[in-house]
Amino acid sequence: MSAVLTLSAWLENAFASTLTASQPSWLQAFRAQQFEKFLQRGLPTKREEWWKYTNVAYLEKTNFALAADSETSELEKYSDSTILLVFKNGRFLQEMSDLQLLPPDVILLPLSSALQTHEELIKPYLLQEPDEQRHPFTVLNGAFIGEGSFLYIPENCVVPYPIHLLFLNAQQNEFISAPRNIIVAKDNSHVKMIEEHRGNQAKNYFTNAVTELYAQANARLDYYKLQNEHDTATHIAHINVQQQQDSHVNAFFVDVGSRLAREDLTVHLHERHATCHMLGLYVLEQDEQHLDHHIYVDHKASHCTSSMLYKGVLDKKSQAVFNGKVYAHSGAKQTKAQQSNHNLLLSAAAEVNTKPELEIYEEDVKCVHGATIGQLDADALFYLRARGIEKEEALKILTQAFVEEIMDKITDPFMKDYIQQRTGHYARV
Amino acid sequence: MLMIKNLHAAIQDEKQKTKSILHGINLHVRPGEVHAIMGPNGSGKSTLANLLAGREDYQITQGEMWLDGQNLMDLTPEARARAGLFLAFQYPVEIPGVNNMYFLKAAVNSVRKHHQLPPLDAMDFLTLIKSKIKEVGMDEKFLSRAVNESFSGGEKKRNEILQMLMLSPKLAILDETDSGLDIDALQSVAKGVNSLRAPSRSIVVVTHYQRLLNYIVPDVVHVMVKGKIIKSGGKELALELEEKGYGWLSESVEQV
Repeated sequence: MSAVLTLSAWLENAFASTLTASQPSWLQAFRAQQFEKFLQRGLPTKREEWWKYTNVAYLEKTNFALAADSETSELEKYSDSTILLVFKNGRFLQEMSDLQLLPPDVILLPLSSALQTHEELIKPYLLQEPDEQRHPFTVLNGAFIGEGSFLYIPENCVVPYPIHLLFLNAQQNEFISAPRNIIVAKDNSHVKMIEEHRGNQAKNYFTNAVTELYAQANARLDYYKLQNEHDTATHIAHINVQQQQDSHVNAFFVDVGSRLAREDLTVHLHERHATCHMLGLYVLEQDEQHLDHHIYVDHKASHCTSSMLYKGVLDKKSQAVFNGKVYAHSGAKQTKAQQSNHNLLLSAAAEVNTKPELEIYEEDVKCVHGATIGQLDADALFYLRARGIEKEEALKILTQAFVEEIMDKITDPFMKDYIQQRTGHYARV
Repeated sequence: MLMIKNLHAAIQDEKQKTKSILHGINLHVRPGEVHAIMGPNGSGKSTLANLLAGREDYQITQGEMWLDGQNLMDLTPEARARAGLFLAFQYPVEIPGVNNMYFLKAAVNSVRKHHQLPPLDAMDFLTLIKSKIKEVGMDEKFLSRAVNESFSGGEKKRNEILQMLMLSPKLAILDETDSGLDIDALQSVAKGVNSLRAPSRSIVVVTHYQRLLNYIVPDVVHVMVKGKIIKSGGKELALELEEKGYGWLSESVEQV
């Protein structure tokens, strides 16, 4: 019992400090309800199937508070041809953001502003009730709703520049930030965006992020997530995708940071001919670094396609978890689903638990899945060395080759370049 | 150039049992010479070639190997390559995801670095490789593919010879480079090897068949049976083996 009390003590404090009278009353009520729901449910434990390999018990013991108002940091601008929204330690930073290239009919606002100016539009997207058993941290995020981003692309609109949501964490310790991002791509619209979490001189903080992506009929949404938190940080995220007819979503995850990171991805293919391609790359190079990908794809309609290709490189005493599940409902005819997860272990102490799963209630489907865990090919290593290439260099070449398959799938030159710049050496080609 | 003295080597099988493969090899290859090592399957020829290149699967239980006055046992595989030793593999490894051109450039420049030469820039490298690739009769499209991936048997061997020409080693060891080659590929491979013949270089051709030696004419032929060199002679020894097989020699080894 005492553990729960500890948890509730820091939570109560943090929660109380975020309640502001300026928020609409429906939101305050919703938040209070989510808060109670989370307290009743408590932190997930390793006895739960969905959390079997990921231990978050330590979160009870840290006294996370809301970050204090932070000063503007120096930020080197990567490109002049992006639309940029910057948050620091969970708070929006106007002066570092750049919305000059935003098309006039597209709405892109920090959530706090959107709640003032577009309350009725945003309300239904916020009042979503997550399943607290499967997604306790989504409930917790609901209790903290206040900041994040709201992106709304109207029908037939093509956003010509990438939208960059940058969550910087810097110069403070032991804080919690709970960004909520709502992205709505209306019929026939097209957008590409990157959600980046970057840690710098900040320790033991906790990012609890929720991103909701809506791809309406025939919309095209390219979503990149780059998780490069400080290596003492905890990053728990839920990305929830809702797709209508003929929509096409590409979701690409790069995880290189955090002490513990969890990416929950849920994809709902509601209408026929919806397509979702998911790619993941993780590079874990620290002792005790832990990454957990839980993916759930719900094929509800016919002629939908989904694919997952996740590859990981693990060094030292790091751990990765992959659980990818495809669920095909009865009537989801002509479902095509692919899942694969490949892991390269560079150290004997590294550990992977991988479990691709299929649950199928329809006969007319084509589903394949596979997973591998392996080491570098000793013959290939000898071959490179026998040509004069130093062992360290040869190891790097072979690891890059393993990663290359994923990086090759990024067809957008800006995104590819950016991700290579921001991630570790293995992703550099 | 190459001096091998009383070399004994063993390998551990899956049951961790030590199996002796080489039992006292003596070999002396002088600069400018081409030696052929012939012998039946399982005689230890490939083991010897791989040992020289530094493969770590084997245990050397006794003996010495010297390249140009350097003790090979002190050198890692990459250091041996930089010192001028080249092994053309019997089974070149496929390396998906590593571009062949990139690989060749990395190899050439790491050897150059060892000799305190500046790395070749893209243009110089391209000029060099284009001239060499013609010599081995290989299509340029193989440069932009992954190393050996889905190459035919012949293309893999041509790729080995291309690497050899690019690195221009002091000592080239060809491990069954002729196996599985059609006559065109065999001739290209031989042409590549012969272009490397020079008073300062040595070549060791490990082969099962006499055929390759029609194109690469050796100065000395050794016969290896059951981990020992049991007979050495001139190029005519290869013809004799072709005619009589290895049986008449194997019998004599039993008596040794």
